[in-house]
Amino acid sequence: MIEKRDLLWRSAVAVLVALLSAILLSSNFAVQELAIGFREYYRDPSGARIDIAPEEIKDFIRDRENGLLLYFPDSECEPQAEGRLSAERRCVLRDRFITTARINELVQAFPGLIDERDTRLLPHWSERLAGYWTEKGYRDLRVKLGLDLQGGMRAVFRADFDTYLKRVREKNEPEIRRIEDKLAQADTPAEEKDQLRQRMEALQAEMQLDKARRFDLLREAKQIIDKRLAAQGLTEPEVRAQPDSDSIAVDMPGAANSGEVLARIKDTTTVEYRIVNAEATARINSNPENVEVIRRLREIYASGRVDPFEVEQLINQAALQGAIRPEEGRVFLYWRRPANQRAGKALPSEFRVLGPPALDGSDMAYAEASVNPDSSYYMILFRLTPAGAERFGDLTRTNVGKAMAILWGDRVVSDPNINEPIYGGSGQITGDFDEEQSAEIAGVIREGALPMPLDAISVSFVGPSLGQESIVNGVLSVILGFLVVVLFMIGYYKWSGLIAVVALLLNLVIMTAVMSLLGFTLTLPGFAGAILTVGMAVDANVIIYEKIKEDLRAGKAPSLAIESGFRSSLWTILDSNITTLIAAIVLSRSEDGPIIGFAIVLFFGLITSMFTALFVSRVLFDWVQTLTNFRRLSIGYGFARAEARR
Amino acid sequence: MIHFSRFRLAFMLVSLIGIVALFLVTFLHFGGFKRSIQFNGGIRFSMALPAGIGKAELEQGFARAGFQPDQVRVVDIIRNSYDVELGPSLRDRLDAELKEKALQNQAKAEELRRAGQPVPEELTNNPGVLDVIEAAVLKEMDLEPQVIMARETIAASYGENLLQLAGGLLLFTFAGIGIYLTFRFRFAFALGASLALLHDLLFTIGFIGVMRIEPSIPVLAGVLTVIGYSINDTIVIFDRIRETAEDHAQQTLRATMDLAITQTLSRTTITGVLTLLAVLALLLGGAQTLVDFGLIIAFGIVVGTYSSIFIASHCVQYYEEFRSRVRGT
Repeated sequence: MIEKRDLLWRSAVAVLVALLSAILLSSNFAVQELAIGFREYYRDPSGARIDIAPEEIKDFIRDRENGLLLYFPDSECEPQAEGRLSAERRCVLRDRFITTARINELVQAFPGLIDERDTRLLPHWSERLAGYWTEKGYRDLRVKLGLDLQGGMRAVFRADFDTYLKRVREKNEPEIRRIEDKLAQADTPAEEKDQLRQRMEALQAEMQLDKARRFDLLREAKQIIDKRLAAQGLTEPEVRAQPDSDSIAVDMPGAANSGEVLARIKDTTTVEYRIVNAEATARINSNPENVEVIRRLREIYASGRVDPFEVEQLINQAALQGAIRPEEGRVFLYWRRPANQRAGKALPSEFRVLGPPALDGSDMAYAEASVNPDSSYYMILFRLTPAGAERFGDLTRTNVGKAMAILWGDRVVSDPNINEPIYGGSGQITGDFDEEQSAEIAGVIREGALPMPLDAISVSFVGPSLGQESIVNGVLSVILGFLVVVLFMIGYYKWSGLIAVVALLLNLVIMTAVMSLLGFTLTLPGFAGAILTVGMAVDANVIIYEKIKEDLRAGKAPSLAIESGFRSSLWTILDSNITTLIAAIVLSRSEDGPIIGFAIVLFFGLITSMFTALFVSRVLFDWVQTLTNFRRLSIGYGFARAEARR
Repeated sequence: MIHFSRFRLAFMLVSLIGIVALFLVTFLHFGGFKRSIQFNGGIRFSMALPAGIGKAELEQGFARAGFQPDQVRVVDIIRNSYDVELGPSLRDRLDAELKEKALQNQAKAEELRRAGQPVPEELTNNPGVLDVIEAAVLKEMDLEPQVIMARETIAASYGENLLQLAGGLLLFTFAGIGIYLTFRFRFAFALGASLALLHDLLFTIGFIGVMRIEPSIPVLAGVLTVIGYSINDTIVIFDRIRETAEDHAQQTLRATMDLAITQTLSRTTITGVLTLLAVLALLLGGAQTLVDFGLIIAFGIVVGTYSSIFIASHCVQYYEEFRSRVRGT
């Protein structure tokens, strides 16, 4: 017998899950709001500042030929102030199906006019709900389409081998000089001289950039970019090295905030160790005019809107005022958080004059974030490569008593004194890090830094790799395949088949909701795969129904047959799904985007299909039973219609 | 009850011969697997065309010049610009031809020089692959050189290590599944399921080779789907074997298995046919990636169903018989 209260509870769970999924998907169909922010000024190639008048923006918003209306012809952008931006510099437009590709196209077409940082889709209420507890306050739920369906953005980066060479020279010079000295000395044993010559050749080879070596470096950079994009949650980008022009092309499907992603790709930030020039540092910091420069720099960074051009000018000014000669070292900023204030923001507090890099992230083999037992901040523990360990030992031995600055990008994060030589090849980076920052630094050391800086030489839009016709046909064929399954199930299993189809549709809805919650990128084969997973989910229903039929044939009453059909199929379904789940989990441990993507779809698909087949369809069966008073069961051919003998 | 076990040796042989044949044809007849831009790199031309010439004309133009493009896509509708990508086979073939020609030219030039005669320019000026394609296409389509905005040799976007990696992952998959099935069933069943999975995988890869399907990410996804299907299908039958063995404890293993396979036959066929029908619709899709994807899965379902019925449990039988014989002596 079916207990009414139990059934009501189970129905409530099923309805709740369906409702939740529908809410998660609702933002895809809602009218969307796009906020566009405009710049106050831009800099021309020479660095001069050019202001943008409000009239210019007004004209742009109304321009049908060459302005905003060319990109969004059906909607008007209403001026609306928010926070720092006045209504003159911000407007909001409403439209359906605003894709990230369309936004990127607009932003990239007018880089001097539209401020990308203030141009974004305003979150739908369902997105605020789903991300209420996150730092941003919302979570992006819109389904993203892949390169094949929607196209995306292609950014081409040229490798800056000049800077690469300069940096390698700066790094290798001290060692080359040392080797030269040793070779010149008469008392160096011949054996050691041979070793030194070999080392010298290796160093020299590092500075020779022939075609093969450049291609190797490009490929190294490509792999790092792959990892970075995967860490950004961008599934299915295509990254390709183009050796003829020393460049790398990155195709990204519908990336939101393209500027942020581009910055992340070409981020050369790494960890570096440099010896502090104490005398020059004291000179630059004691200059009274430089106290004013620091104050100005703090203001700039505190405002959150940094103009790198201005910062560079200020640092150059400080170097000039402190009479720092180039051979004394380069000027960097030392960043501190306000004392005794963990929540405070780190800001530049002093200057440091530093020598050439003595050690960098490429010398580190492994790094992890850790709690610093001596302070309230976090630190990074690292292990050096054998060569790095040797260099670190030499460095600390020859510089006992001096301070050693640790740089994170262009920021000095700490400069401990070297009290004694450090051997053994492991160490720690301390500074005012919070948990997130320390994890980021450790991550970058592990991922590896780009071997050379990259210049973005072009950002363009690539159309979908499939033609419009293939997309339409493809989507239609996938739907056709699904319909075939639906018709077969209903034709073969009658009303019970309909229950399976309802469970199936629900499975599809839940799966899509989970995918959009995970920020998945949908491609045509991915779409087909999802439908196919749903098709395979029918299998669970088939197993149950065939078992029920067997029991009916053996003469059991419908209610008993249903009960035993579900019960005895439970372990069969669990066993087969758990085995496949194991495969999905193993595949998701891979390092490659496409395999991980597949594994995740498979994993969640299996779980939702088990839920719908074992739980939801059982609820539906029980309702049908209750409503028809346990009289009959419609489950297709294969035996005389089962009339219940109550 | 159908007596599947009677013909088990024949099934094993058929599969073995099938796999060997597919790989032989792939390597001996076709000289290996097909290559693709995604895995092996290629060539890309970016072109801005004059009004009136569109994607179809561009595709035809390249084809008429003898270079069938792999992909032509619209980049900018307003400026009427396109990306044309050519695959690695074409690039390597042309490259080899040009290298040979360059060597001949060099030899000729050397001869002329030795004879003290002036060397004509076309003998020392050897064009590259990109130059040859560009010249031929521009001539064929009657276009100005300005339409070519950029031309690039592009390297592979997925390294060869992707396949190695996939191989490594498969080993772990076998291990994971093996442990679970040994725990839930017996080691013999873990072995049978793994062998059936390997069987389906080898068949599918051989099929990709013989059908000249270009390796791509959707193809990889298709193979992974087949793996999922194959495991699922096998375990359902194994489960019934265990259940039947509990109910009919006095029967031989062979009889138990035949009975269980027969009982689940309706489910095995229904699920197989159903999924196959859904996949066959993909073959009408039009998009090459979808057709490849559909073909692989359709084939994988047939092979997966076959191995679940005819291979997996018979592997268990062979192993159990082998073990009892070892124990007996």
